[in-house]
Amino acid sequence: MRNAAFSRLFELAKEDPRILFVASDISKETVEDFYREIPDQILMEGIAEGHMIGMASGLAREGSVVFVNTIASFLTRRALDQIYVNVCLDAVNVKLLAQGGGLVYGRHGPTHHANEDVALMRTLPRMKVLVPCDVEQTRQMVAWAAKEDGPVYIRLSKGNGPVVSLGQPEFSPERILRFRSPGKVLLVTMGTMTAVALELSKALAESCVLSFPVLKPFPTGELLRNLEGVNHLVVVEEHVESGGLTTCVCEALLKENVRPLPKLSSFHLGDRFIGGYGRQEELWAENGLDAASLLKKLKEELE
Amino acid sequence: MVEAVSERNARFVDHCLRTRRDVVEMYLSAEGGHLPAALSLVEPLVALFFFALEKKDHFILSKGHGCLALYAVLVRTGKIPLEWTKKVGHPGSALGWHPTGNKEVFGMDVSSGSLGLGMSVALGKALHARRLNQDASTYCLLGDGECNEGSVWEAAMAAGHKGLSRFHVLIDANGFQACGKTSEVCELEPLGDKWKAFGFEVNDFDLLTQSEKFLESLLEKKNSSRPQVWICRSQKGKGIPFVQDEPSAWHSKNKLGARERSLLEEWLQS
Repeated sequence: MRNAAFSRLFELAKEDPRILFVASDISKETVEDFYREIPDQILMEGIAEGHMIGMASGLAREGSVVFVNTIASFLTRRALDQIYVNVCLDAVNVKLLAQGGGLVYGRHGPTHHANEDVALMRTLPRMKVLVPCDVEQTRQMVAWAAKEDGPVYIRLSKGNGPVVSLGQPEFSPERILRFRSPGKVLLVTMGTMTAVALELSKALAESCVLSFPVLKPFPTGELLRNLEGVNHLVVVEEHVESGGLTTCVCEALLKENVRPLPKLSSFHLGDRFIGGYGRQEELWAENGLDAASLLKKLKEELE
Repeated sequence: MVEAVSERNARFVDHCLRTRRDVVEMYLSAEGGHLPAALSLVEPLVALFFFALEKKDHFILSKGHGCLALYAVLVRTGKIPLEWTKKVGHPGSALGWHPTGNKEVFGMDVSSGSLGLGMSVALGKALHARRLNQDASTYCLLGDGECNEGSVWEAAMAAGHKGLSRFHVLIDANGFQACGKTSEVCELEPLGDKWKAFGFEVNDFDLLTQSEKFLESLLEKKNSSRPQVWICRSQKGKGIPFVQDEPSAWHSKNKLGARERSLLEEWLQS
């Protein structure tokens, strides 16, 4: 997804000199297009996330549209104060391209996990929070963010999964992706877990999948429109329990006073640090977030 | 007509005296805030707002808690209305005990109060000017205690590395932070050597005795090709003896006592 985001950003930056790309200590080969054709629009900073955000804020205040990239864990946790003060409080046009959202850096261990990034970013006033489900949606989101005024956070995952958004409408913040015909079971998910939810849905009779590309502002209406005839709502997310998709769904149901409330099951990463090491998919499975584990648990719940 | 140096210096001293009184009046009206930290900022802020800064330039007060002095010079230079400075920090007030960014106000477009954040933002503004071949100068004012923050040195390293021109960091070196002397809390010296090592040209002035020299040098080096640091050695609570004597006791007050109020009112009448 990172490469998809960079290549789309490069196309946009070539057309619009106001677009700048601020990156932190990444291989120049990854962004060689920028260096070859528009070297004035890329700034390679050291390993200093807080500084990067502050600097991006200064550039954006003078009229640039600044995209900042680094690893999600460091961006959201290390630079949280700068994101709060220098970006959100002052309503500055900075876009955060956070690679490795969730358990992408599973082999690197918990310092590199970003399982609470959506919660952290969602609580900041003015911040919009996007979670693409595949490389195609990533490209569309980058283009949208470049035009959108104000702070945007994009949680990037790995891009080697299936492109599930093909045939779906072009990204727009009000729209969600719906797969399969409506049924009694509604699977609600975000990001690359969409592919897992689709696999799960195929094994569950009368089930439908909703993938939410935008966590904030949460498109509550889209959720409500798809609740008709649903008696079991299942949330699947690669995020801690608090502050992510489960929270968004619960808030929407209660705020809109949905009656009768469908049965709610939620599968997430709990309230804990994820121990052990492995590839993202291996950690999903270890933590019950693969299709087989989810199916087993759901069947137990249904019995 | 070019103003004679002696006239300019007289004007500088006069503005400082008036600004200091404005700060105290604002503080009495606010019934609290950070008085001593604002008083030591008066000379650098007067030098900047009355003499150095032009419309094309940028200024960021990173040391947000010194904002009463910023508000005072903003009023005196016609950038904000006097009414805004009544009862600062109270319900309905446009201004608080730390400045919230206002895009419409020159010199106050960046929020500060969380220490250590201003210099990177200033650096971004300076980079923008360089990219567009603009001759804007950028000034950022920090506290010496603020230099405890690692983010200050992240920004310093980047500024030195980029070799920014027309980039000025002013440090209000009043020797104190909230709980005591900076030398006792976390030694900063040799402060000039530290900035030099990060690629800055160091300008070190004792503002108690050399404030006019500081002003002259600040104006001379406005368009310097290397990043400049200005160590403004001053005194916390400068200009008011009983505040200077007890800088920590006066550092931050949530409510002004009757004794403090009458002391300050007496000082204003003296």
